[in-house]
Amino acid sequence: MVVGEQPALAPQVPRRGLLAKALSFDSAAWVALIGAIVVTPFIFGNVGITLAQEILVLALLGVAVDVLHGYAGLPSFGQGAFFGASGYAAGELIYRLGWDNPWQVAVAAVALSALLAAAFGLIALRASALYFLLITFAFGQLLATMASQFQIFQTPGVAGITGITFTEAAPGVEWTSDVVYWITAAVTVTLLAVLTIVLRSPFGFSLLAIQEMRRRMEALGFNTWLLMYVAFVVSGAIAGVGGVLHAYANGIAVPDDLGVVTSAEGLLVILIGGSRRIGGPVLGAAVVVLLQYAASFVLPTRWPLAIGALYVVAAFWTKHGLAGLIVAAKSRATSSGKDQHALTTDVSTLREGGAEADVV
Amino acid sequence: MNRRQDPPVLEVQNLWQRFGGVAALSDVSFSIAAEERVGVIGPNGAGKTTLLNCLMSSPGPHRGRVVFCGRDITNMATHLLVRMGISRSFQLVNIFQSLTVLQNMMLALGGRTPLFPFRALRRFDSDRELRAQAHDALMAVGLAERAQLPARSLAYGEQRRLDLLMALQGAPRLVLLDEPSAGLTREERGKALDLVRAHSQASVLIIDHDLDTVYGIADRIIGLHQGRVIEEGTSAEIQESEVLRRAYFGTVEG
Amino acid sequence: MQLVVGGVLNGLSFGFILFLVASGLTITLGLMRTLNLAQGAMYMIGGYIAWALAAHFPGGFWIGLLVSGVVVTGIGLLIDLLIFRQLANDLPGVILGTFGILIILTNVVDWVWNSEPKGPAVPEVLGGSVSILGVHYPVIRLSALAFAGSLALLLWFVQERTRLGSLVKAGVDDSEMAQALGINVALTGRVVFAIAAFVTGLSGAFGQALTGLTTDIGLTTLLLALIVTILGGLGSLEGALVGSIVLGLAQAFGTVWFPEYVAVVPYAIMIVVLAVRPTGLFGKLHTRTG
Repeated sequence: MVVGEQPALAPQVPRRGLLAKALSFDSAAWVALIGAIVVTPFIFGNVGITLAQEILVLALLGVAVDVLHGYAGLPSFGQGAFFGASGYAAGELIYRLGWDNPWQVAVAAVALSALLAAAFGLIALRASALYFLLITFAFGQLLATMASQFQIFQTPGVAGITGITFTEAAPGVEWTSDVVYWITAAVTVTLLAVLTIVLRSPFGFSLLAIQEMRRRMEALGFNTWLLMYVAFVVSGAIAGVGGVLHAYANGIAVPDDLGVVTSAEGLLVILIGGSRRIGGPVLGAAVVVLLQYAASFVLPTRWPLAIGALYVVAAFWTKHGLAGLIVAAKSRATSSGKDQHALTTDVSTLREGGAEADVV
Repeated sequence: MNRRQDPPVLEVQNLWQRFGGVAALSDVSFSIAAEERVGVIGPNGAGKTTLLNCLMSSPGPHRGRVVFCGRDITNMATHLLVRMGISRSFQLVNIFQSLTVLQNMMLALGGRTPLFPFRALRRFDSDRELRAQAHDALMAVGLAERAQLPARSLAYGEQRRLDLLMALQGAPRLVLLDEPSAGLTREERGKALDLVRAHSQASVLIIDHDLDTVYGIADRIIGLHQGRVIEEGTSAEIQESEVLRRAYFGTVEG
Repeated sequence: MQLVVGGVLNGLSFGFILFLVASGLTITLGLMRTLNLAQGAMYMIGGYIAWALAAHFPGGFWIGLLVSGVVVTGIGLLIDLLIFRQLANDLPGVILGTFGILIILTNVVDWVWNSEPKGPAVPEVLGGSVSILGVHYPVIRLSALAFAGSLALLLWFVQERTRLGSLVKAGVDDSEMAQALGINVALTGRVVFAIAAFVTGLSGAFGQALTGLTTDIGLTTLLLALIVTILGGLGSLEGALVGSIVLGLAQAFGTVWFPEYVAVVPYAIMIVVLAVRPTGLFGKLHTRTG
């Protein structure tokens, strides 16, 4: 190793052949996802649509949680606040202000969730990891309590806001549950794609580096607070999108959407499906929703017990989640798998590396 | 000398730092001129690392002022200080173990670019210009062939040099080094110091237990004991100092 | 006058009971850096067991106190073994695991005792009220105050005057330093958690005689205890006491003055305190710097 030795070129980004790309988990996941979405209504009918709708919406919540937990290193137990807030915003806009355009309502509702996140983030980010968990928990429950106590958040006779429905989705297209499903599917897939790009960009990378060694990143000149704040607002917005679609599908916004039950589900989805992996949130959401569905057959009145058990089991399965296991299996099968995932795998093992004792 | 007439790069004025009820730094004052290298020595617990942290606002001082190139930077956010041209290394080698050497270097370069995380959407390490820059930087220290290896596979001495190199990017005007020689062999220390010396336009504040390291690079030395400055002078003067010898009594240094 | 006295008595008695639950939560948080979301559910189980025994057997209340304490301690040991020990540094895992236990316990309660709210089961000996200087004091509230107050005093005594207490304080203050000094912080944490479980069970048994029982008490008690913990500062018994009393009084007077908004009052107090002192009233530096 000698100073002055000149290599021929700067090293290139490793090239990936078409087949290699096709074999990578990424493409397979997208194909499977889109395929499942398209095929479900025809094979499983209305039940399938309802379940798939729930899965997609829950996956969005899971992604929101993952942006904070898996990338920024902030375990939030209150993303339900932003999930439910947009549903309530949509409800209020329709019920009290008479808005009738689903797209306008959706945009306004998501904007509101983002604003809420922007405001709350200023407080929440002052906290260390444990405190952050507690504060986000309290925030979600605060909103849930307000929603169930204050008249302004209720339609007469209901503990929530009903009537979240429209006459048409677009000129000539009636507002049906099928239409809502296709809208949900399109929005979810698009959002997942956009996020994949964003999280691999320098932004996502910086977040991961901050999670590993925040002080070092500061010393390198990164404005770590700003990066985490942006992540917080983005997470709130994504949760908001999920929440609006959820409200559209159910036609109602309820206090539980805001509280710990929802927030915990988001965390559950990520831990089961895998953090920082493509398809992790969708896989996790599928497991949670389908298991709940199955449980309702086996234990018609006591199925929450099964959910509780799922939480306990999932708690032990937090290392890699389902998606991680699949990736590992794939890279064992194809030895080239390792190089392709040079960035993804390295990036996701950033978490496991020893972090400075910066977090209380 | 001309250089002494330039305004000092760093002025530390009456710095105090408290942790709980303990005064970690008491009324510390000194200055560093342009292109000057100052060493800080003292027994364990003297407050050397605390001093460094104070200068970088992590955390900032309880009382006192820090002035950098005429600007009051006391308690200014760390990343802003870095942009202004102050850089530091840490006692423990603080490279990203699971990234490649090249990726580490790219991160370091990225940090100097304002709004780096928000400027592009393409994959972090597919930025050709950044890769080339990083690669060039690595060439200067002979780490270019290791560019694609995970940083953790480097020997400790090489990791330290990568660490220092990352801290020296962006032509800082002031470099704060926290125990750069820790864990290195004599030969490795020499290489590490060569790196620092090669960046001659920077003023340096170096903390180290190894007195040879400090003497080898510092023009002037400050002795710290229990949070106070007890001695200041050239390396020759310091070596004669009774005051310091008494402070060091009981510790063996080579 | 009656109203004020009644309110203060209600607030104090409830506050002290709340303190008993919150104390376990805050010490666990401060010492083991881990959160037990099932703490409220443990209180709930204690309450239901005591209620069941008191409602069906003469003298059942007193047996219930003991049985609740033991059973809830058992649950606590289970949580410690299953979750805390297996998932030592995995905070999200612990969160989910204890949340799962909260769900399970809530549903078990619903299953065994159905979802009808239960009225307080007060032992005869503590029934009725006494009249002092023309003001009526329900005996059960006075005895709850006495009971919880003396337990609180005992806890304070343990913290300030026993070896265990100083181990706890050292661990909360600086866990790494304590370990470096040879203190087995993990074991201390486990002992403390078991004690807290016992205390929580007892307070659940007594608490049901004050407020009655519903199936959502598991979650609501957890939230109140959590707010108290945030208010008072992690790991601080004094903070938990002050916080509990404040919340207890706010609850008592709130139900009289503005019943629709009383549920939000604890959060409002928490937010106000946090805005002024981000680490809580007595908290150490648990927020990020820089």
